[in-house]
Amino acid sequence: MSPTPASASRRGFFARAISFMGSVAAAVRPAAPRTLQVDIAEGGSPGDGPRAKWGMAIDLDLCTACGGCVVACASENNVPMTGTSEAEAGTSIAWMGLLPKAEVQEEQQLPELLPMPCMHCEDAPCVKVCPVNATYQNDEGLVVQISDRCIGCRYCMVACPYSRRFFNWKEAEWPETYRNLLNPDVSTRPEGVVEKCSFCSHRIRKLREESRVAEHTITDADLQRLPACAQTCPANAIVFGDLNDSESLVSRMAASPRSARLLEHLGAKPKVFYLARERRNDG
Amino acid sequence: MSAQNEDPKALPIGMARFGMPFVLGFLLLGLVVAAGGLGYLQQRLHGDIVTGLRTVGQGGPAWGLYICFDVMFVGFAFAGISLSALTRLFRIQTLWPVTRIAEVLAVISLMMAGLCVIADLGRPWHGLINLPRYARTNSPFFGTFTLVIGSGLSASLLYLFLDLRVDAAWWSNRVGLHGQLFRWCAMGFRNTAQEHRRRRRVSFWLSLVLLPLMLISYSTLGFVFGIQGGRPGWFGALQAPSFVILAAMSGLGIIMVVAALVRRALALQEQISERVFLWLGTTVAILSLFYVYLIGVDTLTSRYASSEAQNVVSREITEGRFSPLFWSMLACFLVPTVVLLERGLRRKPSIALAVLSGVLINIGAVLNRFLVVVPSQTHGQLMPWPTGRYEPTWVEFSVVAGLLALGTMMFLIYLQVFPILPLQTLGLSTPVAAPKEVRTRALLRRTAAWITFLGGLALALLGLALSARWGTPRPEGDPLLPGSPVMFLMGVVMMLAAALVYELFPSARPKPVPETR
Repeated sequence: MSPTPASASRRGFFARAISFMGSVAAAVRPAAPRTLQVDIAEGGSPGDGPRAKWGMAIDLDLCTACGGCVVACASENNVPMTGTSEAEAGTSIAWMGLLPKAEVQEEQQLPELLPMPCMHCEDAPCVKVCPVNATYQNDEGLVVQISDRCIGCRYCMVACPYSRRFFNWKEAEWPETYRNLLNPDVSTRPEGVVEKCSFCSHRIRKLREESRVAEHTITDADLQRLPACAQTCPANAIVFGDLNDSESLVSRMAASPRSARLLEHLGAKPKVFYLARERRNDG
Repeated sequence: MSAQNEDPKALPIGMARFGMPFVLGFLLLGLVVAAGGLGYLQQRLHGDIVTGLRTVGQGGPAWGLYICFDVMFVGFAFAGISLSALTRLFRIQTLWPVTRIAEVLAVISLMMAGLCVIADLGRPWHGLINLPRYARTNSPFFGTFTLVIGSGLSASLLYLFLDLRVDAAWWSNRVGLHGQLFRWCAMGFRNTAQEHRRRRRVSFWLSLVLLPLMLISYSTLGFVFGIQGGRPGWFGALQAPSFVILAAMSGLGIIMVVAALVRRALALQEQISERVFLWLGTTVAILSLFYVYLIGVDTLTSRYASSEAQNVVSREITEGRFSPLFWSMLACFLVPTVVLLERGLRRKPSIALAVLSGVLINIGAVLNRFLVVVPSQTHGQLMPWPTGRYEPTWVEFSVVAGLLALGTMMFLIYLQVFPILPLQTLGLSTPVAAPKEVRTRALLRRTAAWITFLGGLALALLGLALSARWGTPRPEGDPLLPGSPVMFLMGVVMMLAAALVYELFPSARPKPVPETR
């Protein structure tokens, strides 16, 4: 029950509704092929001009919490199959997870289930604590995890305020039929290391290579649904793109008044933006 | 000279007593160590799933018993070295008899701490290779691996060795294996007045250097927890000082226990006086009082107007799931405090009560470490992930018990090989005047020591600069030269080794020593 006077809340509603419609209009506007402000086609050696800063925006008003992103992510990234027993034991791995219930974030109007990938923080606590540089931030803002370097001390897991890091408590197992369907673009991880969402960095690399061969200029439209979660999302709630490109959809969504980041007060500067759900009169 | 030294077969007090209790005790400890090995084997074969640890946010803490005992072992070492150093600096005669115990305890504890970390790692071999190669200064673990385990261990070994050398020289005319060992360990110490003067000087400077080194290195262990802004219950400036205080009290507690056991087993009632326990007991009581005060401050801060999550963690500790542990911990701290203070104020030592207090304080310390490490991970979620629970499995218990048993075994082995009482306590180390023709080469000796020290300093700074990538635009990254963390470590060790050079630098003396005294 909100103690706010009805007129004030109505005004707030209209303001939000207008901004929401604005963003929807922006979202549905056909993305005209145009040259990106940032040369993301290269992405190669550091120091040759501005580069991409990958980010994600999740519109919670569109999200139906169907869980498609979770399944797509696991399938794309060879995440070991787990069932209820692992989930109950606390050993399952879900790079993209659904945050069960958002009681704490009441004022941010988050839904009951919140899709949560790695936040790829700009000032990531996990990167700070890794003793062997097994996790670091690359030139394009991705928080990368190198399993071969990882020693399994799990410091990053306890440091991550979003709990978006997972440990391989045992050797990964797949059913025989599934083993032939593993994604060859993503290496499987050994027992005893930490793993996490990569923003499907292998797809970025693939897109670059394919575009180079086809002499195609990468546009924002190529990027918006690039990660497996975004590609699968039936409601198009997840948008990926370059935050350094102010015209990209993800940048515009991030700039929306509905946009907020989780635990902003910690100063980790996450690069996943959530667009608040519109509370209509039915809720 | 003492009659004991005249008989070349007599060994220092307490040594080489292979009685039946010793053999039985040793076998029993061996069994516990074997059980620990078996537990660890399970962990290696089946993965860390055999422990009670789980993913944070999915029902578990990722750190548990291993980390608690790592903190515990390093704490023992911190207390041991600090006790020994303070005793030397301030020449506290009463505490001399237990300095050796404290030093041996420190060396063994640090070895166990290293093993504890290895037990915790998901991939220990990668840890052993990647940490020396790539350790980053950004991570508080840099301090833990280089300063605590590396420099701390070499410093304690050096400290122990230089002190033992005096004893070894005194007993070097023994026959058999012990004699050979003593002669090797004495490394030409001839018990002259000059050598003793050098020993005192080195001891003074080494103590002065080791105290801050131990303080800094132990604080990094507190920072592992204290600087995590995303972990309510950990984040706070009190963490490092609390770690130091608790380490001192639990370490002194264990020294009281070991000293009493050694005193009893080897009949050293005369040498280790009851006043030792009065001193240690009172110190432990004061530290314990202060620690309880810190707990109060911390609880008040996290309850009054702090964040919701911090409140939850604190409530969970004092009223929730962890409350039995919390109140037992307070009892384990307060009961000994009252008992020891009462004894201290009345100046009436009681060894039985001191031992009991030492044991209780250490039980309390284990509980406290558990309460520091676990609740923040299970209940200190900033995001509304489900809360977790942690019940260590037999694997973790057996590994920890195995490490404790291994440490005890090493202590027993030490008792059989080297004297546990410093010579000074026995009143034996009367220096003799050096023969006139000996030239100590004081200038050369000092120069060599200074060169070692400065070389070590340069190496350490270079290693640190390369590890920390000083002067590069991106300080977070691989060390500029793989292995530079080792360079830093070796530099610190080399700085300390200046003491070794200063003491062991050969005097100009052509002819062999006529006698050892």
